[in-house]
Amino acid sequence: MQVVAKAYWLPKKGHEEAEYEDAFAPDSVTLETDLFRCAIADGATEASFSKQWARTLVREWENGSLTKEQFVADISRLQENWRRGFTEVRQRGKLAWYAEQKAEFGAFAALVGFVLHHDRHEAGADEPGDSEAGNSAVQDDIAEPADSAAQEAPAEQAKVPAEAPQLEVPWWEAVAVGDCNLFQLRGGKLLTAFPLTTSAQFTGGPFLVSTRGTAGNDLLRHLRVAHGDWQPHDTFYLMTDALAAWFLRCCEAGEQPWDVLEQVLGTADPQEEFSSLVRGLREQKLLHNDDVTLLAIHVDQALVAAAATAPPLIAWEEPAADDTGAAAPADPTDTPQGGEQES
Amino acid sequence: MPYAAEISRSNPSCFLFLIDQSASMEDPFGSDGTTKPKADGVADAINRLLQDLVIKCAKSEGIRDYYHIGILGYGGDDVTPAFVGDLTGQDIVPVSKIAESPARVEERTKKVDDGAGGFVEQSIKFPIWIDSVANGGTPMCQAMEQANKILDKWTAEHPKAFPPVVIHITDGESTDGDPKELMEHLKTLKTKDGNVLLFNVHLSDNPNATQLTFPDNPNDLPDQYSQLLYEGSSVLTPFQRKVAGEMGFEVSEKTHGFVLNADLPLVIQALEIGTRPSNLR
Repeated sequence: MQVVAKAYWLPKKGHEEAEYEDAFAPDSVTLETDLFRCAIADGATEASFSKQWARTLVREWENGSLTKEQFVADISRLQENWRRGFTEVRQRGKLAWYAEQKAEFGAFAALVGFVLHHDRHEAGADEPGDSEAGNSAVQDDIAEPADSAAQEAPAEQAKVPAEAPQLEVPWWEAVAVGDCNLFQLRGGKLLTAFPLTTSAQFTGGPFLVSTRGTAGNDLLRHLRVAHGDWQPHDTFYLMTDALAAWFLRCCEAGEQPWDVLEQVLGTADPQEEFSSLVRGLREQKLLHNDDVTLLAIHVDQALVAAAATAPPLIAWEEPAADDTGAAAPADPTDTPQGGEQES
Repeated sequence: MPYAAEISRSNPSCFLFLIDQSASMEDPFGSDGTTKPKADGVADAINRLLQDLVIKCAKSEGIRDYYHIGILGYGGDDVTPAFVGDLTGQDIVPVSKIAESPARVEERTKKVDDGAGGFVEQSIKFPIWIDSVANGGTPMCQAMEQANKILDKWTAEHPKAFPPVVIHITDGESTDGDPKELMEHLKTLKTKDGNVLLFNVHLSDNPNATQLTFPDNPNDLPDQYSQLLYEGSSVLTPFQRKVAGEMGFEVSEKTHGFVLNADLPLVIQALEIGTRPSNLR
């Protein structure tokens, strides 16, 4: 598959570029690959060293050292590395008293990690491969420790799920902690919003991935995972919270914000146009003053013509009874698939 | 909407502490059950609060000047900035200066959970910016005059700022006149985002004084000193009401920024409600 991915970003108004605390990986790529990994993260302003933590998370995700399958154990390893590094810095005595005390509170970041797979999983005989229900994503159940005693289990033993989805199609998977969001667009419609599906869910105080703590089960409880199919010419956007909240507010008002973004990204100087768009939205009070990051991913644009004649590509699972609905929205104003899912 | 201004380095806010350092502050806290003088407890609470504010503003690259902070002590015959060490004599300083200039850093101990149902003592660094002082009379009017002067200037220089918060801690008996008008005037100072907010913390020795936290009426006040401080205090902003409610205090739309007969933990809680940022950027 051909993947074109590029990040656009702007620090919050009144801040220097060096103070931007979001992170993304990769920056800009065009490549032929069977497996593509990318991520964005939003370091918490209230903490110190959040920028470094956010960068660590996206870098580790991109290079495959942080994975969905071993998410909690991988984070535990990164926390241990972080602690070791912090101890060394402290022992060198270079930190001011306040920097040391602040750092002890830990650094925090929201994260969305995303993977595109070109290979097709072998489907089981009773997979709902030809359902008409839609092409939407599915939020996966997370396998928590089976008994109550396991609630005390060390983080390394906590299992993150997630059977590999059995799809007969090229597919994607994603993990999320906090309020960075993934959007999937197809044919001028919003197909997926993950993990948050309404602007009201951006409350400003989500659980975040911390450098501290052995509370693997807490992390597991707040980890969201999802998967779905993709088709040539699909677009994926990864956004940090301010932009994602604006995007969903537009959708809720019956607008198509992806048209605005596509127009901006299609210009000769898309970063400058993106910055200009963000500044304008801030001035109109339509966008919260925060660091803003967009990672735009386009897949197999060249294969659009072939896709037009291809059979439908579907990833569908029976939703749980209390799900908010797994069907794809019929039009852009519908609520996209997804929703909070306690597991 | 008032009290909604973003607090940022380009638009900082201000805290001004007024501390009674008269001789009567040598008396122990009324309901604390300890013999610790009020003056010691207040100095501890302020030093701890300054430490919290510095840490709140600390980033990996240094301190962001979200706040300007002043501390006036009044006792004897006059009012003076209460900072000791390098900041001696300065009335309002940015929080980065405070971070860089504690007079000294003491080693203290605190009890922490040992993870096995008990507690262990852990050594912590405790920076000191003000010392415990208790001396002479209670020139509250002079203190209020000085506060008016400082904040009149500050609000003029920071017209868009989140309004300054004044936290006044006293055992209540002014010896240089009635400060009522001066308190009222202080509350008329304003930025475009709202009026100055005045919190009064009254450490009363009156045997009839019960502990009152953030009351919304004056019915249970024991004497005219409490009455004066209650009426002089501002009504809490919606955000402060929310924080107080989260801490378990009963609040209404008339709740005043007033605490009576507080022990040290309550002084600390009152300080936190007064200084919790609602929209730090």
